[in-house]
Amino acid sequence: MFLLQIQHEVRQFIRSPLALLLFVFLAGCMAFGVWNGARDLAQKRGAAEAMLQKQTEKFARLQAQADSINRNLKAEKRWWLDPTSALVIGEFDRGGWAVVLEPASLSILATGLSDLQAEAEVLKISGSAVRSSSDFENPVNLTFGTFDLAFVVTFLLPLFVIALTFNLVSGEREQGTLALLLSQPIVARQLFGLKMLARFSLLGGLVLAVMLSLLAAAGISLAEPALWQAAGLVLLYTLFWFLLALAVNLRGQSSAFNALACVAGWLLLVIVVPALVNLAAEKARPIPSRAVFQNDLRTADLEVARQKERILTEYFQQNPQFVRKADEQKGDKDWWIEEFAVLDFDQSLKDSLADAFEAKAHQQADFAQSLLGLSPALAVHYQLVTLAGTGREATGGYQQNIKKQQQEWSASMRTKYLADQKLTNTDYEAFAALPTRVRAEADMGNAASGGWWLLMQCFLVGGLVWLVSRRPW
Amino acid sequence: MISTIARQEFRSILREKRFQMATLALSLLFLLSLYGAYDYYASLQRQHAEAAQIARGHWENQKDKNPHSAAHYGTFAFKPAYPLSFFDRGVDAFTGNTLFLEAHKMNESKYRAATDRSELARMGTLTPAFILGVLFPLFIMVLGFGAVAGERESGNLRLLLAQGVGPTRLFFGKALGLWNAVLLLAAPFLLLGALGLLLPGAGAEDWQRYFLLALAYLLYLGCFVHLVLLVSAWAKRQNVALVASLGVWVFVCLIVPKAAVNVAKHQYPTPSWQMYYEGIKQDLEEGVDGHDPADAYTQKLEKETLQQYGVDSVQHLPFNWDGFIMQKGEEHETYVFQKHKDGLLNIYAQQQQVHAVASVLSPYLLTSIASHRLAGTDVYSYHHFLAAAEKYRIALVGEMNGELTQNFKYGDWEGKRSKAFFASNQRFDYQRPVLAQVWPGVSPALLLLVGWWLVSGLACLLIFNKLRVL
Repeated sequence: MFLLQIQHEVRQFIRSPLALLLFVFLAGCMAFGVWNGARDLAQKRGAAEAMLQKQTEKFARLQAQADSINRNLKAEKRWWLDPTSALVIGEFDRGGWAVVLEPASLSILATGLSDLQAEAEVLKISGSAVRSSSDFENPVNLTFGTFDLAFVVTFLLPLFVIALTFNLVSGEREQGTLALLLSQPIVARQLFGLKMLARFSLLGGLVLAVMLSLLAAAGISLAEPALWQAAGLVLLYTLFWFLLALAVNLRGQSSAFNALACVAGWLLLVIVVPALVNLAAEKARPIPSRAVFQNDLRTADLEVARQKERILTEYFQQNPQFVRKADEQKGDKDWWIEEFAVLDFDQSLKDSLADAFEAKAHQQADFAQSLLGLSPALAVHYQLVTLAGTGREATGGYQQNIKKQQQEWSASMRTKYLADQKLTNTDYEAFAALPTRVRAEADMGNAASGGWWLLMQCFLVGGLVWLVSRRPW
Repeated sequence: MISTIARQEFRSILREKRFQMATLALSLLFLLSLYGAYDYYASLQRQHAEAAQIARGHWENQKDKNPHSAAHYGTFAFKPAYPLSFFDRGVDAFTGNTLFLEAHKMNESKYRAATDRSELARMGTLTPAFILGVLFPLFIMVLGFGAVAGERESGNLRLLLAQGVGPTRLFFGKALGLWNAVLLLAAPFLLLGALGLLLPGAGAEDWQRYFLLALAYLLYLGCFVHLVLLVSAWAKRQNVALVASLGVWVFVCLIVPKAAVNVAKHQYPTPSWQMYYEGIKQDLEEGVDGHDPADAYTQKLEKETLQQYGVDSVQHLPFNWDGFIMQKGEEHETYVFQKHKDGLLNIYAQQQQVHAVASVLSPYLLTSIASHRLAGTDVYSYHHFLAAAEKYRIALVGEMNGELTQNFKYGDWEGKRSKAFFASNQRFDYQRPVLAQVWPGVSPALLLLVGWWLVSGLACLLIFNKLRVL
């Protein structure tokens, strides 16, 4: 019976110009979304590679200059350009070590927050300097958002499903064929369920085939587990809308009413509820303006200045190899010894401010995430972004990695400078071996939790279908 | 005859359950959006005003130091908020909130609000502009899809035309009836929206801007009245009319804006960080470096200056050479940074042209452009602020270098200035662009909207004149 139904659905699909047109349009949108994602990924990778290439060339030049200086073949009078100085290479503009955030290949799926993220950070003794091409992106483009695959799946795919299923049952009734079908020895509920399942199998299969083909053409390996998780999410999401359309159809109203009801459902779940959730998150967990944070950082500088005497006294007690000098007797190195002495206190104070601010931002994000169950659009969008590695969690993971590498860089360069060690070929070879990339990976764990939400929503709508189908036909 | 048809259309819409339910839903959402928006401007304005005061306090109370050190210490400017930002937040979330003003560098603004929010925030926030720009047109499509197609299906259209109702009158009657239903809701919305201007900070100009904003949205909604009648007249059946109307809405409000963004980005890409700063670095090397006496351009300038004043060393100049060269370096750096900034703004202008072309397919784009600009939350207003902040930075650093040049001896880097001096330095007092300045950017969008409304109306007339009864 199911196979018969599938054959019937295929025939109907092929014979319907509207269905074919809609499918071609959806496939076209998916292709455009994947193409945009692939181009953005290629651009980001290109920018990151260019940065690393420049760094390799720069450090090769610095190494050659340092070698000449160490062998007394030449001298560098401008101390702030001396390539043998751990201070210059560790901290000044000439130096610093760039680490790029390599986007995950699945970032083609969803732009998420990647259009706002930095592509690299340059590690310095005193912290890290962000390198972000998104600083130059037109804010108008950022406001309207990207046409990516996640947009097509979240917003357009349900409309495609609704357009082809709003008259799943009512169409048969209006054509007069429903009475004929129900006169056959078949349970009405079974008939409608089979119809929906057959149409879902056909359309869901087609959508999946298009999606997987496009992603494979864009260079994503079909062996990638996250890809299949994304495929599963898209299928579940499609199933939700099929079930909703069936539940509406089973109320026994006209096709026009069904269309309106399905569209109202789409509007509510895809447009209104997400907007309401974001509003609620803003109100329930407000984040202060970063203007406040900026001033707090400057106030922290004053606190560091107030604590400086105590910190320096402790430092020179713990480091008797260094002698504290009066200001008029200090040379460059003496000034830097004192700067390094307060650096850790300064950084920990500012980190605590940043953590407090981040905590507020996390609270707002967590609040919004706690409401994923209210809308399948929220759930699927969140999951696709998480799988693509372009969400907040991916950024947070990257930041922790960078922080660790920066602390190692800072400790190493400070030690060398304070010990008056000149940078030699050995040091430059060690630099070349330092990690230059941090990868943003798909967060399978978080995305799985989102999948559970979708599954639950499908069960809920399935339950609704069962309830509505109990009415007599 | 037109008024009869209009009255009939209006009454039948009012009686429909979908109108009542949609009105209730839309009204609730609009009230919620006002609740959500009412303190957006007030809160942001308060935080930024306080931040500006604190930043000024940091500047004035910095420890005694050399003026050039103070120029490096720098200060901050904070992006202002405007009263109408409660209505339409525009690009606010994607532009930096704080700008560090220091010597030798034109910094990019930092801390975009969007980076602090979750990925779900990109799915939209409920604001009055969102309701009027995205949801209200769908409401119009739902009300009007059966205006002609329904008459055709029920057989009324044949009767109407048989009784001598001309297609033109039919169109005007239907349009007027539907428009009355739309105004029944849109007018209270726009009046309620104006309540936001009663909050402190809004002036007479904000009322003028709001009036133009309301006009833009009314024109925009008028376009959708025409679009839905066009679709309804074209479609054979109501089902088809509904699907097609929905398709038009999706195309205009969702697909075209995003597609235009991607086309603009790919046609006129912005530079990567690497490219942008490599360009700046190269150009900086072609001029004076105030910190490097061995720099070739510095030495050339030194030679020329010594010749000009007829002295043989910088110590004998009637001013402090250190301050003078710092200022010359600053001027060169400012020129370079501005040159590259102008290049970037040129790319934005080219991208905006792509958006303008795409607006032929989407009045939503046009309305957004006009709405953002009138609310002061557009890119132009943002760059006006940045330009003013840059002017202030140049003036402030100029004050520091001027003090060094005129009142310090050459070689004296130990000399300091204290609070009295820093408190006397000029303050950053930003005045937003007035309506007259913004008008050249708004008027084309409004005119194009009028054009859209007229053309869509003409297209409707054409279709109505070719009406089929079956």
